[in-house]
Amino acid sequence: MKLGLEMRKGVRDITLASRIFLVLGVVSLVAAVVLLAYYKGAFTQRIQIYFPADSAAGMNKGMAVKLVGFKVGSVESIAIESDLRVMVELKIDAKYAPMIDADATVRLIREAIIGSNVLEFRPGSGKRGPVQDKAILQYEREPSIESGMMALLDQVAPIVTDIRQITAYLSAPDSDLRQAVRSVNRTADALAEASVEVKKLIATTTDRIEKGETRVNSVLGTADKLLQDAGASLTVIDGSLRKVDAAIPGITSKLDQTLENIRVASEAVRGMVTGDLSGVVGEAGALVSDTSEVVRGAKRSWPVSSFVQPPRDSLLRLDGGGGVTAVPADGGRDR
Amino acid sequence: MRAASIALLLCLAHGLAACGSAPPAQSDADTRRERLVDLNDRAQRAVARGDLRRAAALYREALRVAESFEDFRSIGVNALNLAAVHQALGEPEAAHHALERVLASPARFEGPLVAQAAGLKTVLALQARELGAAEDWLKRAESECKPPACRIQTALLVLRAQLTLERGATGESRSQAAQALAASRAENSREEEANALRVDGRAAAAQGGHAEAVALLSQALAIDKQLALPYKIGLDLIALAETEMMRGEREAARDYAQRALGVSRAAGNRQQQTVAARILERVR
Repeated sequence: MKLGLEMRKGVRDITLASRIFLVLGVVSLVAAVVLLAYYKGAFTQRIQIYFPADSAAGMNKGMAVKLVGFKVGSVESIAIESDLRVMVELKIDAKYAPMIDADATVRLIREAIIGSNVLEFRPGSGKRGPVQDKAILQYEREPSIESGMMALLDQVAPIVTDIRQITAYLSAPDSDLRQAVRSVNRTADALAEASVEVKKLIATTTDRIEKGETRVNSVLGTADKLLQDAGASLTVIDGSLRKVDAAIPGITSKLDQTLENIRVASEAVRGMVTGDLSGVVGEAGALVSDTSEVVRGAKRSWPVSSFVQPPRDSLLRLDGGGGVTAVPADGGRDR
Repeated sequence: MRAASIALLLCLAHGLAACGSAPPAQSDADTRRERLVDLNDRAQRAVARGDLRRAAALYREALRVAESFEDFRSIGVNALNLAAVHQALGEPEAAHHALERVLASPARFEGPLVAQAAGLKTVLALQARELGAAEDWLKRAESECKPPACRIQTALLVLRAQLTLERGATGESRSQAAQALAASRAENSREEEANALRVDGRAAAAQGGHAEAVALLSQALAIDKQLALPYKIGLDLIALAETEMMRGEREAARDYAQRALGVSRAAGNRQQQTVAARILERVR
């Protein structure tokens, strides 16, 4: 009995534990699903945008839709209409809707040369405001390399055809061009014959000109040399003038400096004249005066006064021819 | 013996000291006279270097100083010197004015000064071609000049020869010039020698002896150039130009006249410039 009770209690514990494990598993699973849905945008508010296209080529369901490189939505569905046009439904994150113009266009582009195709919103004029839910936009396909090559071939093909036709025309023996070329050849032969005569004429004329106008050539040569010399002289003059022109500011400043130096020197001279120099001159004059006084005193003193003639002013001798000479009338020549 | 010699020397020294004395005090008159002599010396040096304008200014100042204390000898000397300078500068009016200081009252001046004043009057009269006045002044000069105090006889001989030449007596003029030439060489006066040669050359030219005239005038020119006397050089060149013009050598005459014009311009003699320019116009 006790064993039975213990067994029933163990079964209840296992049952409880199993239920707890089951609940936890379900909760984890639901949480994982919710979390996955959240990350997948299940809880994000989206708007629907449609655009018609001529073909669904390059597009597929779930294809990314980008705005300036950012993924803002995806292709929800691609459906064919009754008029064989394709209607594509896009789901766009509502928070990006204000960034998309109402007149924006949708373009199918390749992300790289070998990358996958994506749809991209191209901005509109912005005058109609942001795009609204369930709006229908214009679609444009970026030209692919293949389509570009095909378009180029479509343009080149007619040109190749025309070239073939022209080549065939030129190659025809009776074509106008061949006849014209033959006429030109005949004319060239005639010109070659005439050129011989013209050469003879030119040689004769040149010879006469050279003989007759040698002096003219000499004169022209001299004139050319003179012109070259004049040109050289003008170059030298021009260079000199440039140097002078360049030196004028320096000369002017030097002149100013010189004048300033002269002014300073004159001030110094004036100072000397009115200052020390006048004293020196005055002293020198006094010394000369004293010396003269001593000499005069010596002359008047005995016994020197007996040998010195008293000073007399001298008369210039009369000159019989007129004029004047520095010869005293009462003495000999003093020169 | 030695003590006696020393005593003798001391006596001699005392004797010399006793004979020597302090110079007498200089009076104002002495000071003025010294200034007068100084001005005269400076003026004579100015004449020697050919600065006649400066010489005239100095002689004028000396004359003013002399007149301030009525030193008649100095008045006469400086007046005559000033007149000679003005005459050499070709300023006859100023020369006459200076000479009036002497000739207005000749009694106050010594005979030689009056004689020289009369001689200068003769020169000025000859330059002005006033032959009558020249004759009068020359006679007065000759009468006033009494040797040995007067030493201008040779100059008066030259003036006589020149006056005779201006009167047209070429033969007599040449003989007087020869007499003056001999006198000048006798007293070794190169100035008067050149003057005599010039007068003789001009007289020879007037007689038609152009070659001889040119030779004589060239000698005079050489002497005057040696003495560096611009006024005389101008006279020689003018005489040569006139001689060449007389014998038809217009090119040579033009050359001499041009040279005379240049010399007279450099010397500042207006009269000679006028004469030279007149000759140039005639030979053009």
